[in-house]
Amino acid sequence: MEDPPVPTAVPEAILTLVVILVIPLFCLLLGVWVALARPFDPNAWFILILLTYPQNMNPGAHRWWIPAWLTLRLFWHLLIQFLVPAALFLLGLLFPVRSRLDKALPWLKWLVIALTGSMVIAAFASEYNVWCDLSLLPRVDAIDRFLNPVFIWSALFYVALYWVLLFDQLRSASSPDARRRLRVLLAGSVVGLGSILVIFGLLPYLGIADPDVNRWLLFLGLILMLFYPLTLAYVVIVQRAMDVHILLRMGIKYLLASATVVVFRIAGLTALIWFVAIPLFAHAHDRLTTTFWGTVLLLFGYLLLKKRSPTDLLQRWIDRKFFREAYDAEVTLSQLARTAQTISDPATLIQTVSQRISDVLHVNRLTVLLCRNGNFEPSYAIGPALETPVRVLEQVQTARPIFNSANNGRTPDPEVRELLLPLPGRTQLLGAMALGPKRSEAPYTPSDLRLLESVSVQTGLGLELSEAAASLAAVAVEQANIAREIEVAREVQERLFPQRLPAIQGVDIAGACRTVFGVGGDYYDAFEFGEGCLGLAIGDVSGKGISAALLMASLRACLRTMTRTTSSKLTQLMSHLNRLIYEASAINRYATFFFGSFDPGASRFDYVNAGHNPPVVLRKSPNGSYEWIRLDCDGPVVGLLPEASYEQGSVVIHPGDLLIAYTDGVSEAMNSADEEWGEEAMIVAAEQASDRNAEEIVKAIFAAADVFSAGASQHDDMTVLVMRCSCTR
Amino acid sequence: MPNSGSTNVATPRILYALLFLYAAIAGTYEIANSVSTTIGTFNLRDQVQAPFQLYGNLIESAEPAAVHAGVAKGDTILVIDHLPFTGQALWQRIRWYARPGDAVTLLVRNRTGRH
Repeated sequence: MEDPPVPTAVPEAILTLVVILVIPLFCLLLGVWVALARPFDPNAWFILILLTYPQNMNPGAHRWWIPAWLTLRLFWHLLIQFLVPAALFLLGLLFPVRSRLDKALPWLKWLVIALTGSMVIAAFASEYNVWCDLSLLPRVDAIDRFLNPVFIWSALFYVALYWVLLFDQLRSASSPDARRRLRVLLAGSVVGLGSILVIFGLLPYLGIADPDVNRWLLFLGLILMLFYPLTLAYVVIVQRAMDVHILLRMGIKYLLASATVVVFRIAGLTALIWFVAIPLFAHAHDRLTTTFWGTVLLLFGYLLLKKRSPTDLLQRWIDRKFFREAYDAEVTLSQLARTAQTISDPATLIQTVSQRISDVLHVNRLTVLLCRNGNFEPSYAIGPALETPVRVLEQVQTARPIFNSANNGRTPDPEVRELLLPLPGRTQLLGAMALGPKRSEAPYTPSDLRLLESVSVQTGLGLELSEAAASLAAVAVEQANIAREIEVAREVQERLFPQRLPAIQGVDIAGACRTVFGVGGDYYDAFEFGEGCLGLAIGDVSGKGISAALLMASLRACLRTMTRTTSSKLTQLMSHLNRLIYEASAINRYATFFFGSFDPGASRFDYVNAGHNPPVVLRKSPNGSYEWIRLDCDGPVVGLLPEASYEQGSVVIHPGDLLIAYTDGVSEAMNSADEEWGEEAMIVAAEQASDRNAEEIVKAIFAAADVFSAGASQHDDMTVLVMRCSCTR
Repeated sequence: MPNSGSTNVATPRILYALLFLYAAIAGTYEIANSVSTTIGTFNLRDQVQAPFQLYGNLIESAEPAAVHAGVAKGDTILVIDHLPFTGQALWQRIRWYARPGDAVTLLVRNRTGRH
């Protein structure tokens, strides 16, 4: 026996191991993963067979095989050798859909399978003969003489047909997705298989460069070759393929950023082994030195490989720096869902949410529709507006995203990458967001849809809140306007009350009105008319507020006009007044009204009463007690009936008498227990203040009413008119 | 249709079983190939170098040592180490366990038919 073979140079041996062991293992795992993910897809199985082929890239390995495993080696090596060309052909025939050739000759694939099976059986018999039992065939090469040419030519035929079918499929592909898959496969085939052909075949054949000499060429060839298995896996695994240029762009980004760290780590380890470990252990004779450098190496290796190592930190930094939006898409959208509720302006809310979704999901086109008066109208858009099936929106019940497809979103169509994102309110749909395709053309993932649903719910709530806030603001503005108008009306009405009371010798007059709503329907007046007479009037218009105030103004105007232009009797004056008010007011509007005329010379007070609380004349007797004289006089309220007649009453006023006229808001003032103050209590209050002047008596009556009501809210306008007479006949 | 249900369930099971079998064989092959190639590449067993290359029982090429011993290209091996030559697997086994300096006896028939 000869001496053992010269040990292979260590760097070359490492390279050999990478080629013989690492790449086949990687491809095999990739193939198993593809078949595991798509077990019902025959193309996945073809790809599994193709990705098993790198195990056969070491033709001379049988010399080193352990004898006990030799049978396995013979069987498997041959099987893969024969299956791979057939699998390549069948992949071209059936990927991504049945080719025209398969439709025309459906039996062809079965013929190829049968032929391949026959060749495998024959080849296995031949190999068994050669390796294990030479007695089977007298001539060991009998089968090979026939089989080898058949195998070579059939393999060449299959490979050639694969390329032809690939181009034919690309030309006749019916869907954009199929075309994209084929383009990716074609690109991978050209790069992967083409690099093998050029680097390992053409360049050495033409004498330009030999990968056995130029090692960098060998590495380049190996790296480029990996494109083929990767594209094979990609075109079958992905639900929807991206176009080649997008894949390239994404791949380059990934390589430049994320994979840089991995490359850095591998390069560091390789350099450590290549330049330090190998020379150290190859030439070291000093055990101490070897131990020292071995420890240093272990330490460096640990730092490179441990978790949270500098390379890991670098990886995270790159992720944050370059892919922050994509990397944190989930986090960003979750935050957006929370912040959507805090924005009160609808336009800002829509703009913020739209812009963030566009940034995070890389969506170039986005249109927001909002429901205005029952119609969905475009409110905001990024890029050209998208067409949206409004009919679909009208039937939407939930916030779940809808695929904006030709079938009205009933089923998700992987070809359609547009989404309708309903913006639901608590009771109705507030609008929708139409999302165009992503820039990557990748479909929306289930995670995207889940997060978008969450964002849309929060946006809907935010919109509803902001709209409610806007409504409240509008109401507040409206109320402020009303309050301002009421204030103006109050000022106007204030002017309708006597600004300056008549100054008549021996007569002290005072009056005041306290309204519930700023303006009211109570009325009092005191003016001179006729020949030195003093007119006193008090009334209470039905209702409250502006409408009552308007009728009160009308009543005052009529009274003032009539007292100046006619000198008729009070009863006639009241009848005319009734007629005028009846004509000027709504059918359900009326007023109680009392009018009296005091003649200071005669000390006589004539009066008519149209349904008003009878005023009281308070007369103090010599013994100090008070006599009450009610100025009762029948007559209907004014403004309710077209015609009414009144009676006139008359009373002689003595010096010291108090005439107190009031509206029911005073006598019916209530406390918190819903108890009425009452006319008697009011008169008692007047009695107690009777030694004061008229203005103070009015104040005393109001103060006593306030004491009784003890802070309970005023429910009706309150008016008091007091005349104190000190004149003598 | 009770049968259709069981068929539907059985189909993926068969496919997964097939995939498992395929992966098991390929994985075993990968392990055996890795071990064998590592042993051979780094000469971990101090294995002898083959003095000639065989195809079946035909000597395809002979190293100088074999030529010196009288073996030539085209010879047919009949007996090796006193064992009838049944195939290359026998030669692989002998070579696997041989050490440098060991002798191997051959009975060959040359092209002229002489032994």
